[in-house]
Amino acid sequence: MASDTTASSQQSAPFNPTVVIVCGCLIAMVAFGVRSTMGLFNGPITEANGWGRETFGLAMALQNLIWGAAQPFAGAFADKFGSFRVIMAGAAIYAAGTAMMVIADTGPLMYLAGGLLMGLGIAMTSFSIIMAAFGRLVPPEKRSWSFGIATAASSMGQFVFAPLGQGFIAAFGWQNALLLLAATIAFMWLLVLPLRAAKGGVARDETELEMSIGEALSRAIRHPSFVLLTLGFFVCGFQVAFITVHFPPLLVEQGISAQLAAWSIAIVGIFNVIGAYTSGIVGAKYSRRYSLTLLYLTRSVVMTAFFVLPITPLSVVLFSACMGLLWLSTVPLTMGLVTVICGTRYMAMLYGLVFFSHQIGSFLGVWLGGRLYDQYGTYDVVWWLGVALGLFAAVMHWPIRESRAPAFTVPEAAKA
Amino acid sequence: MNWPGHKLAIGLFAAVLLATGLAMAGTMLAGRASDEEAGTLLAVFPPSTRPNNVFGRIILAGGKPIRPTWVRGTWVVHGDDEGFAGRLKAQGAIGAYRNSPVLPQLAGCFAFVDAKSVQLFAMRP
Repeated sequence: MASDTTASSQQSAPFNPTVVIVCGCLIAMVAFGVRSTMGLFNGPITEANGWGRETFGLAMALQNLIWGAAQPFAGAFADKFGSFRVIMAGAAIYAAGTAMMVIADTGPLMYLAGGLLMGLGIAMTSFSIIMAAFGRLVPPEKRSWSFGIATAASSMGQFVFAPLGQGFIAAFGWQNALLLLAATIAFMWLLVLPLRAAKGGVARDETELEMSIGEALSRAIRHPSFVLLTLGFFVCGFQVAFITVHFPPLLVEQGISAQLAAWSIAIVGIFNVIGAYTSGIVGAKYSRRYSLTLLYLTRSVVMTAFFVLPITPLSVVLFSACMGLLWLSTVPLTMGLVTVICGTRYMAMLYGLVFFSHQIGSFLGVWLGGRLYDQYGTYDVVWWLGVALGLFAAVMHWPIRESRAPAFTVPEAAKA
Repeated sequence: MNWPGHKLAIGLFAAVLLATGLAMAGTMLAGRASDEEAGTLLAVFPPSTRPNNVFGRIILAGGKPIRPTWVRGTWVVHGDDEGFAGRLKAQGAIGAYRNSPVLPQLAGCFAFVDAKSVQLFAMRP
């Protein structure tokens, strides 16, 4: 049973709880949704500026890297000043970056707008910051559920914004489409108002030890369970990014139609919403470490079965559905474990650190996928590497201690 | 304080799906071609119609089949003569549409909706 249901000094939200959850979900939806449309602008922007594919691609690669690297810092600010302020600032930066892409007619300007500013903006408005706000606002017994719904909402963002972005481009041209998306991001300023109460340091568990950010960081990285969790999340990034980018070409190579190959990622996206939400419920009822162990183990089994059995349209659909269920379902469980082990005080920063490991995994998944394919002329090697890493992640999660780390707990003597 | 649960989650996702569906339906309705229109159109035949049959009906309507889309029975077609859309309907098409800006596009976790998938799912005449 998850052990974060201890008494806490939960801050009472000045807004209706339903409004808090809905607004948080809408922010997560916009933040994740807008970034997922960027691929639609690749062609028009590249063509308008007479660039090769590299310039826009590099800007997007920078965006991902900066998002990952900035997440711990965005989290630290959220812990210190509250998610409300960070999201307000992040929405401004995100909107500015998106709007600035309209006038970015040189490579460096595009790296600044689409890379740096958007990357920072995403880090400051992403589901990590929303989950931190929920974690402080909702009662412990609802915490895991709230992580699940925030993650699922992010996935829904892609579902909504992809056609919306396409529609904006077709109806108003790519420049106006970017401005409309920037205006949509600015709408977060209204949506964030109900999250004002979620300020760091207010809604802590009573057993949680008071400490500085530096101390929290130092204690976390010395705690074996936190390190194991971080190593495990690296694998999630590796597998997810590899499959997203390399799975469709792998299928085409195996004789599957290009349409079904593209659909496979769409199927992953649909089932991801269900999986993410369900894992929030699972995290509230069952052990998160065992759930994560089982999840990574299942990923390896599914990947193995897919590769060993004949690849047919049916097996592609089944694989995509299974992987979709296991896709972002790692997030609520991982965030839940960070909260259980380290408490809620610095949860955003510490989850940001774990997430950075995920992004490094993502980078390597994409890069090694291409690199090893070029070297061996087949995806076999990197596929089996993904299977092995899944087993590695399962082994990493098994020994995690799902309880508050002593370094984050008020000593018994101090309580007395 | 009463915190919401599954009902809110279901309601929220249903609302998002409904809003997306309504927006798509609205765009499709706005893009419906009148019977007199000609040019490049999206012809929608009943999904149960066999591809060969669809092909033949487009020819009989005085048009040229350009390519099938990922939706069964739905083809991008071209006809220069006025009244092409009406003739398609007379041949059994449920409807004929001009450019539709809203497309069903989905992406995975950290995926971008890339140019290739846009082309694959394109239903733009």
